[in-house]
Amino acid sequence: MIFRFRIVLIFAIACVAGIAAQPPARDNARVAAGTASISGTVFVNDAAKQPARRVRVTLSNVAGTTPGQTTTTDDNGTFAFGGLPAGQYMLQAFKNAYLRASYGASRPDRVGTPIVVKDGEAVANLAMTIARGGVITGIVRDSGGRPVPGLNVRVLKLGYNAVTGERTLGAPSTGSVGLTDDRGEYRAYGLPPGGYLVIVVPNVSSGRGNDDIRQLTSAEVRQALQAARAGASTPPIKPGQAKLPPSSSSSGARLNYAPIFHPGVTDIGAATAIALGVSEERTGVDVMIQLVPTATISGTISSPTGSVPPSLSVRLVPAGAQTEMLAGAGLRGFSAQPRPDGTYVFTAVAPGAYTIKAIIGSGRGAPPPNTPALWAAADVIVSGQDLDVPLTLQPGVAVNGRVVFEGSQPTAAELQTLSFVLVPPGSGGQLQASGGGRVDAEGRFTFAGVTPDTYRFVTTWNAPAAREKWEIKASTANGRESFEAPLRVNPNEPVDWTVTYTDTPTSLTGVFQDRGGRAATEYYILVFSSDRKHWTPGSRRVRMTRPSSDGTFSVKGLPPGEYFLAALADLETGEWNDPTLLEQLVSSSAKVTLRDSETTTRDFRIGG
Amino acid sequence: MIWLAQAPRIVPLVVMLALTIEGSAQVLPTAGAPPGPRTGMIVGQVVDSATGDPVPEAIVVLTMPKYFENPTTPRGRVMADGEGRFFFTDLPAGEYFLEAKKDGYAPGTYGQRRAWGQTLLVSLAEGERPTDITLKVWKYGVIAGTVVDEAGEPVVGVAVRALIKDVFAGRPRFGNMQVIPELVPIATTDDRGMFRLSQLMPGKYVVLVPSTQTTVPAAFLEKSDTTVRNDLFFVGVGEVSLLGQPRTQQAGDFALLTLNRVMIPPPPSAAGRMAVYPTTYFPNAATASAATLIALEAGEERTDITISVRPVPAVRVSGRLVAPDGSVPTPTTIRLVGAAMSDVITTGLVSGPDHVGFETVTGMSDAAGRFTLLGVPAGEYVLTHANRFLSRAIQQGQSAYWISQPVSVGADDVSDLIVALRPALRVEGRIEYRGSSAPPRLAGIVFETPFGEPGQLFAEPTKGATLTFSTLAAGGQYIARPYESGGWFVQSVTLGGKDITDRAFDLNADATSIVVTYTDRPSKVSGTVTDDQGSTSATAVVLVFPVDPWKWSGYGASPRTLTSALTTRRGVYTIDHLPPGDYYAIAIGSADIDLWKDPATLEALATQATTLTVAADDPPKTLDLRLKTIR
Repeated sequence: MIFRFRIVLIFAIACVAGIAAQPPARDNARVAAGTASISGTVFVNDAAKQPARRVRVTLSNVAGTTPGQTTTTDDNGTFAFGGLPAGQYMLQAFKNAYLRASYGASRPDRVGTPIVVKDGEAVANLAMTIARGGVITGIVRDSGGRPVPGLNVRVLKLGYNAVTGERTLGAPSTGSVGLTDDRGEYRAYGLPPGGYLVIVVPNVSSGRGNDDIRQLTSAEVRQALQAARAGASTPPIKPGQAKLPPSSSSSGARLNYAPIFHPGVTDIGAATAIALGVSEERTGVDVMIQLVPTATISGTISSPTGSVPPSLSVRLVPAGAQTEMLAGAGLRGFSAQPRPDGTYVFTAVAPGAYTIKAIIGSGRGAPPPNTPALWAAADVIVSGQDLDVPLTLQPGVAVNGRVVFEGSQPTAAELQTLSFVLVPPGSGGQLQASGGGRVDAEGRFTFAGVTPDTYRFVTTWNAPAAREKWEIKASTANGRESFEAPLRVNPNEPVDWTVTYTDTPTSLTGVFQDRGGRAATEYYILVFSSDRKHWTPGSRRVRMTRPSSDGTFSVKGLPPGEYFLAALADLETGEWNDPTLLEQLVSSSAKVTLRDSETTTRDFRIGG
Repeated sequence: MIWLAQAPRIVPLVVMLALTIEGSAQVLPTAGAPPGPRTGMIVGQVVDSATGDPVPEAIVVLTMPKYFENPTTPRGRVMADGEGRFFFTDLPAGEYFLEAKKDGYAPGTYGQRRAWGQTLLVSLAEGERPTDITLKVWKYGVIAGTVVDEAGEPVVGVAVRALIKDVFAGRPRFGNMQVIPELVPIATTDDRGMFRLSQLMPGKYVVLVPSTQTTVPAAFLEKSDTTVRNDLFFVGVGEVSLLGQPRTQQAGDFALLTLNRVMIPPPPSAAGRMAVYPTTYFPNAATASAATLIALEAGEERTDITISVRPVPAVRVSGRLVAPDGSVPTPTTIRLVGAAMSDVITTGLVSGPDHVGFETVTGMSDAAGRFTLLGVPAGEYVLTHANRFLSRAIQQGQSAYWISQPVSVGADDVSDLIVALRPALRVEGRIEYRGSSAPPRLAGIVFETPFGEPGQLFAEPTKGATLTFSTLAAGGQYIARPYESGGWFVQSVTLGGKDITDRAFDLNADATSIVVTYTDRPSKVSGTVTDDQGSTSATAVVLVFPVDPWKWSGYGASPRTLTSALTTRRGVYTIDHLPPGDYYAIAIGSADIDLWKDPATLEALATQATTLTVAADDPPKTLDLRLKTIR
């Protein structure tokens, strides 16, 4: 990475462990307008430190109990929010071509710290800075060196998937994706500092009716011209070479454009990453596109019921070690609709490793009712040769889940706003609804036909008070632990899944202070398991938090066990998924033990 | 729900079909393979339309539309050689679609005399091997520049559009007669405030930064409310962000949404007065007709266009919607349309969620029927219903209403405006086919507005023992334009027994007795065009228009009585059907045809034209024409 985080020595100054107090019950009603206010000024983060005009500033209530608010800075860069109930608030500043700034964040694009306000309190003169985003620009040329207009260019930032914790790519700003202009130029702007890949995606979508290109040579054209003028009954061209390439034929060398990574490679592993500093403008990031030999993949789908369901679709998705990165780059493969006779075809397939998956529906929503849940999958390697790949449909696996609550019980209405989503590996951060997952009033939820694989699960709960109150304590599927380990779905093995919530989760709270006993708010607090076997991407035993403006912090719902607590001056979102970072932090960390149903309170002093 | 998602595209699609069918041979797919031996060939070249120079390595596509659905039908996609030459072999007799594509050029289909203009199919006899098939492509021009605000700061991430000056239904209009949304010139300013519109055809343009405000009841934006999202999607507001998001600003019970690619308004003054950036035409005009025209030649670049935007004072317009029975209507989308949209043909410009609109403000009433529109500059407006798909309301079990109420806005807030909702008018009728051939697969009726005003609608037939159709409309003037396909042509359209064929009718009450009569015996007109030397002209255009100058305007988007036809390789033109009437016909060179529907041009054409009279049930006519030069 291109920046250095500073690890801070911390010392525990008190240690109190006790039984957790019940958090006060809240309801969902909007809190009436209050009497506190928050105001301040936004400055441009450059040498001149000018006030930033026309900045959109948003204020959000951490507990989600009142709606968010938005205002615009005036020509002096000032903003104000009034009528606020007591609580904790996050402030963010937005301006086109600038980087999103969060109040209390050490750098652009970092997590901010909540501002604590009491009734009647006027928090004034807050200062925020916004920095201009970086720029990456260049020209896309073809193999002949000619600029190519109208191509989709994605300038994507290296980061971590929020769910799986895997390394992946993502679009950091609306100005990071665009088309090359008539001069072949692209310009990505508003970019936060970090590592970037530049990807050129041709306008090719595989499927029926998308023919490959056959390149004609001047010699061939001359021969054709002679044949036409001579009026010969058949042109003197070798059969199979000058024939029209019908859509289903395999004759002739066929080419097409494939996604290309800067500086001009088709393999994402060989792409050159660009390290961009704050507000840096990097020019000359050119890309050379190239034609690659393409292949047609076709086959017949057979079904145990004899007929192929009409809602079946076939997807060709990249396989191999880089799927998470490719998915993050939006390269999730192609989709095709089988013909009524059960055959399918993908044309213009670039070389590479793929998985062919047959699924019911599009895979993004619930399948139509009364449709048998079927699936099929096959791995293929494509290298310009056409392939025939038969697929045999198999029944999907039923996943029957239920949620149970230790302690107090949520209302049926609250329960019905809870839902589960299964996230397959290599999804690049996109959640895929697997057709189901909504919890009913009895606490049950189902996924009708799941393709065998390993899954992570995430929950959404649209009841702020309930979401605050209960935390997942355990998850068991067919007797296997599935909270920290992935949920495994095996063929022909229905899954009986229980998720246990508790209203007395483990809790770690405390205060961060500097040497003078003042609230220390500028740090990133990382709480991570002392057992290295839990230092895996997306681990449930690694958690980052920030102190509020009064120095308090709180981490809820970590599994019981022994943890390290470290404070850092800066930390990129997701970087805690990197075990080498955690290893560096061990020697300057404090050790804490979290026990089931207990609140552990620890205060810390920075720097000794 | 699938229907809902597709509905916004229906109207443009219908217009597209109508334009495609107009004047060109109708090709509907046929089952089965093309018959006959496959001994024909096509050899040709791709050239730059302006210079005639070869265009190297263009992609050339060949298909056979009539047999498109058959898997053995010839089709191909080749890259031409370094001199733009291409060939296709093993072709059976038949009609071929040939198109060339090259980066930086508008694609060229065989027969085209102007970019995006009429096309022909290549007609190939058995064993025929033409070697002179030329495909022209048109080099795009560029308009580029910068958008700056009143402080001289570059404006980042806003949409900039170019509208071409054209003649629509006899009047000068700005817009894009290409209704394919992907082709509408639109660019977004970058971090330097710079834009570059780089796919422009030769012509005269106005360039603008569209601006529009949207006001929604704040309660609808507290949590994701799909009803609000759907309703706003249907009026072109694709992005709805919740309270506390950067593009949503609450003001009392209502919240102002600023669409992506639209300027965020400045903060209100200390006294609470609001200001907004109005739609601004280059260099700083409020309307298209007051803007400076930018003339662009083929391949020309204009890179010095600076558009200065500055805020103007704005007020709030609020009031209440009242249903005809005095009750409170369900939340309803409304719109204030002002001068920024005058002289602009919006078809194809505002059809998708990604297309920034020209209307000044869009709003939505709350559960009590109250509405507020924030950020309205002074001016004269018409308050209208925003939902163009009135029949959708009925499908959702709601009442369909329309509104047309003038609103004058000055320096002060307008409050307590009572807006009367009027029940949507029923437009119903039946279709009769008088003839012996099988009725067409495709049926439908577009109700066009005489001068391209917004509000065009579409009626899909309900199949039954007799073919009927019904839709809902706002009051106004319309021209009924039933589809013509499969060899069937409109003979007459009547309303209550009164003839409304090819003419506008006033819709001010339910119109439930429309009868569309089709005939399969068209009054076909064809002939050969020859030049002064007596040789046939393969590059001519034949123009046909009414003798009566009163019919030279107000005829809607796709008139049947003003039509054009291209000559084939053999100098032959064909007009599939002309409605009965007296016409002028003239053949001119392809260079002279731009904006030929301008009444001033028609007047000049009339002096050299041949007259042609078509009566009902006439047998096919032959009319040979001599090529004329218009100056």
